[in-house]
This record gives sequence, C-alpha cells and structure tokens, in this order.
Amino acid sequence: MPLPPTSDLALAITAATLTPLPDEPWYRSVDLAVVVNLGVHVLDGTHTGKTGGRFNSPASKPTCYLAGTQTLAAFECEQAAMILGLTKPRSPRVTFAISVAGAQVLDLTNALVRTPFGLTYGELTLPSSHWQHLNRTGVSAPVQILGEAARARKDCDGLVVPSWLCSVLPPGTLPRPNNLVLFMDPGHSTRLRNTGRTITVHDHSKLLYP
Amino acid sequence: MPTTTLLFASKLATEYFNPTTGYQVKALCAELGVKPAAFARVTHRKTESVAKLFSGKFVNPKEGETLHVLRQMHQILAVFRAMDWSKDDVARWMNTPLPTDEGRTPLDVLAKGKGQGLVDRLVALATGNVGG
Repeated sequence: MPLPPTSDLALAITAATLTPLPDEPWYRSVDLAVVVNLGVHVLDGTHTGKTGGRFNSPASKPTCYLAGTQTLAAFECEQAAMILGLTKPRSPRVTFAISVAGAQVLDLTNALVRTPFGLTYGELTLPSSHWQHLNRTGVSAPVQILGEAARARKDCDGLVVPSWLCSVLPPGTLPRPNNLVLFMDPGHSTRLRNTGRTITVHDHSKLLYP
Repeated sequence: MPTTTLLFASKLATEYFNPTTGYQVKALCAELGVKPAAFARVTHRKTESVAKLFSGKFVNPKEGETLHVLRQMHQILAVFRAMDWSKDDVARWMNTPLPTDEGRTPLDVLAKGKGQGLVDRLVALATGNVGG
C-alpha cells in the first residue's frame, strides 16, 4: 500500500494516538574500544542521521536506534558488520541498558496505529537493502518518509517498530523483537529533540559513565 | 559533534595529519595499503601528479577532491586504529567488495566521493546504531 500524500500523512500523524513507553529497558551493543578511543557517546545518533536509517532519511537530524533485547541488539550489529565487510576479529562489544520511561511514541507494531499510514507490517520489515538501494538513487523509502513526518510532530519522541528480523525468523523465535527509534536533540547526546526528555544509560560498571 | 572534529580530537592517526602542514600522504596511503596508482584513480588525478604528493613530506593539496579523499582516508584509518586492526587487514578491507554498496570496494566508494558515508557507517556500527 502506498503512503498517503504528504498533507494527508501529516494529518494522520497528528491524529494518531501516542503511547507512553513503559519503564522497561532498551538495549544498545557498543564497540567499547571505538567508543572510548574516539570519544563517541553511547547514544550517538549523528552518524546514522547523516547516512540514513530505516526510519530516517539520509542527511536527517540525529536518530538513535535501540533494540528490544540484548540478543536483538547484538544480532543487528552482527549483520551490519558482515555487510560492511568487517569479518576480522573485532574488539568486545558491551551491551548497555537504556531507559526512556515516559517518552511518547508512535507504536507501529500496533496495527490500529499503523493502518492510517497505509504501510503494512511486511513493508516495515523489508530487508535493509531495500531502503539502502532507494537512498543510493536519491530517493527516500516510504518508511523513512513516515519517520520524518513523525519527527515533525512536536509531542512525539520516536517510534516503536518491528525489527527486520521479524520478516525472516519464525514468530516467537525472539522475545520482544522490536526496535525503538528516538528523535535526538542535535545539541545534547542524552536528550530527546521534541520534548526535551532525558535518556538514561545504565552503566553499573562505571566503565564509561562513572 | 561532526566526525572530523571527533576524530581529530582523538589521539589516533594524528601522525599523518598536521593542521598547518597538511597530510603525510605517502605514509597515510601505506597504512591503508593504497598504492600511488590507486590513489590517482580515487582522486581522479594523473599518476604523474600523484608522485609529488608521495614525496614523503607533509603536503596540503589545494584540489578540493584530493583533500576530501585524504580527510576521509584519515578518518577511516582512525576508526580502524580504534578497533586495533592490523595494517594488512585494513588494506584487505579497502579492497573488499561491500554488499552495502552493490559490490563496490571502499576504494571505489572513495572514488565516487562517498567516503564520508563509509566513515559514518563505521562509527554508527561502533555505537550500535545500525539503523535497522
């Protein structure tokens, strides 16, 4: 199904019900050596903002993707590493738990929320190569257009979306196979753009954030 | 924070760049396994004109494209230094066809002027922000 025209999409986004995120952790798998040596924040969203992600167009504002479980966080990174040709042994990755309790999001795993946007579950979980190929031809994918339209809603902090793995793994293989997409404040690594809510990185080891 | 600032703020690979005198092109290319002919192809320069850049001294090329490529190569090296990859492994990666880029190698991507995207993807992966 195609997305509605821009003005109708904006209306549909405005009319959609936002869901407050429950107080449950989300996860991010981080290459500790790179983060330490380059001084990048664990919640950095700048680079994905620039290159584009499934729900943000290239050259967009900082966007942060978190995974529903530690397994999913590691799995998604492993796939990205393979297709970037990084097959040599790499430094250990550490998975951080991250809290964004109270954030207001558009839950695209809910069919009632998703239907007005004209995108099916299958279209949300197409292989990454689909949106990447469109981007190489200078075109944003419908899912990216939807993401940017949601960013424009001033009380919306992000999206809950199914992982692309949902399209290749049998149902029930992974618990909570969802990702959280957050619209980040370009001036602050731990703050959300639209509402100014703060994100907490739980670093009980005190390795990075004592 | 812009990538360039981020990498220059780190202590990695600074021996190949000096803000005043420019890049140590020969050594930087050697670290990445980029031969003069390949550098000429990537920067769209004639091989003879590249020889001057490979003099072993720090040089500050005026050509925007060459400067652009050097900046991206320097950042790629900084990321791989951070990951503690060997020189041989980095050199091999520079010539590895990437599924993300329709089989182009990182060198081909640099030649197309898209090297910054590669740097951004490497850093995004390091922070686990792979973008679904």
